[in-house]
Amino acid sequence: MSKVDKKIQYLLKSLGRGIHMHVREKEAMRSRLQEYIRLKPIKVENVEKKYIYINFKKYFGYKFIPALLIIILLVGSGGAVAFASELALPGDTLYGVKEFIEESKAKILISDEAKINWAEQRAKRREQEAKQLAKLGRLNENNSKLIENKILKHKLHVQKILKKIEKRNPAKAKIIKARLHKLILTKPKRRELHDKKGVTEDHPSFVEKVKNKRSLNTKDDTKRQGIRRIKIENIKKDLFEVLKKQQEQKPKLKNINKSEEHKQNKTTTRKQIKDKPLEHREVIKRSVTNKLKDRRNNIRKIKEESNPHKEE
Amino acid sequence: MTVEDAFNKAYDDYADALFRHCMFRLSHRERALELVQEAFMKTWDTAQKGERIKNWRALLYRYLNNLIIDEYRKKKQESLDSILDKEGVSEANFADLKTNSLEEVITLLDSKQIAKHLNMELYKLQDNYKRVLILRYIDGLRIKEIAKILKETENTVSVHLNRALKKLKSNLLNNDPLIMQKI
Repeated sequence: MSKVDKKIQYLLKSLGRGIHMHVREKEAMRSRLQEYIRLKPIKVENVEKKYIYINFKKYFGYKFIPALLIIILLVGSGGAVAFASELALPGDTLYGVKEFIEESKAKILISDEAKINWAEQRAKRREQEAKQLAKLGRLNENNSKLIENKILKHKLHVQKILKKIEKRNPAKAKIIKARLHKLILTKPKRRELHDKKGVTEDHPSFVEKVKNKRSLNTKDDTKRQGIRRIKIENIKKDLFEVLKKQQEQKPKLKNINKSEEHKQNKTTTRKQIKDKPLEHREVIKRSVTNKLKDRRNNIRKIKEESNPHKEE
Repeated sequence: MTVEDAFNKAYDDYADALFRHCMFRLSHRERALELVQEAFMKTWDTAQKGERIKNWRALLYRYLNNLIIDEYRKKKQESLDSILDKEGVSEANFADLKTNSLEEVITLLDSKQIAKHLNMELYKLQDNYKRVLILRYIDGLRIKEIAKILKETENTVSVHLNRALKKLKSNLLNNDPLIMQKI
């Protein structure tokens, strides 16, 4: 900026220094404005009205886009964690999130029927968790105790609510009971309530039943395997016998060929056949074919006698 | 602090500055006083409705600017319009320039003729440039505040400022080539 420009700016600033209202003019204007204020006082209703005004430029302008993106990412990640926690099992890191979500949902519910339905679903979830743990081989004592205690809590919660409903409307309570799952309807036994563990040997809990089911299945498997072995051995034995018979019968066939009858009825060579007349030749042919047929039939009979199992 | 107290405080702080601004735009004392009073009355109407006023100064200047523009439109005459358009002045009235009110004020200042020339050239400028110069150098407002009052971007305000200063300088040189030596 040149000196001339600076000077011009200084002169412009100095132009307005001497210009101002006189004191009388100022006081007169003030009094007029005070009268105007008295004529138009502020209404209380207008002051109490609270206008919610959001300055979008201020909060959603270009400067605040990174902050908004971070907020959106955090909210989205929270939703993803909640979605992933549904697949969690006892012992996983996200299982705590799952429990928190279930409890918060239980607190939000108002009606008794909704509370009962949710408790029933929670008990079913524990059931599924136990099955999955058993499949994966992660069913420990700690996990089993956790699941059983939770199922007990749900049972007690449901029965408290049912008692309340019975007092008000017993018919409704009956309808609800008929609809509920057996798992929740069975009353917790005294030993379950008093024992700290909640489980006894005489009354096996659900988790133990799951465990026992898995063990029973192994025993059945062994029995079946044993039966199969026996069958295989029996079949082998039969086969040995059949083969022996066949081997024994084979030299018989040879003997038949070398029998005296055969030797006597042994046909002559071709030269000898040619020397004979035609009539004799045909007779010889017939006899040969008949003999072959007989031989084949004998072999079939022997085989049938030696393999009786096939028929069975 | 109640609304009445805030209003009274705004009057004490900004009444003179508003009057000065109006004088440079209109060059008529009585009319300037009336417009300043009207501007204060309008702000009280908005406060009375229940609206929350964060910046009293900006609101007052905005109302005053609008009133001055309405005043120009009322006083417009056809013969003068053509002259003003040729010479680059859009809305000022030369008849008012010759009133005793402004000249008397200017004679009370330093006896330099430069100030007189500058004052004359300021009135010849377009209203867009004139109001920006007055708000920036006479009223002492920042560019952000001027942009809020005039509802324009800061960029346009700074562009208008630079162009106004250039035109002022060129007009001064055209009228009196020796003025630069005097400065």
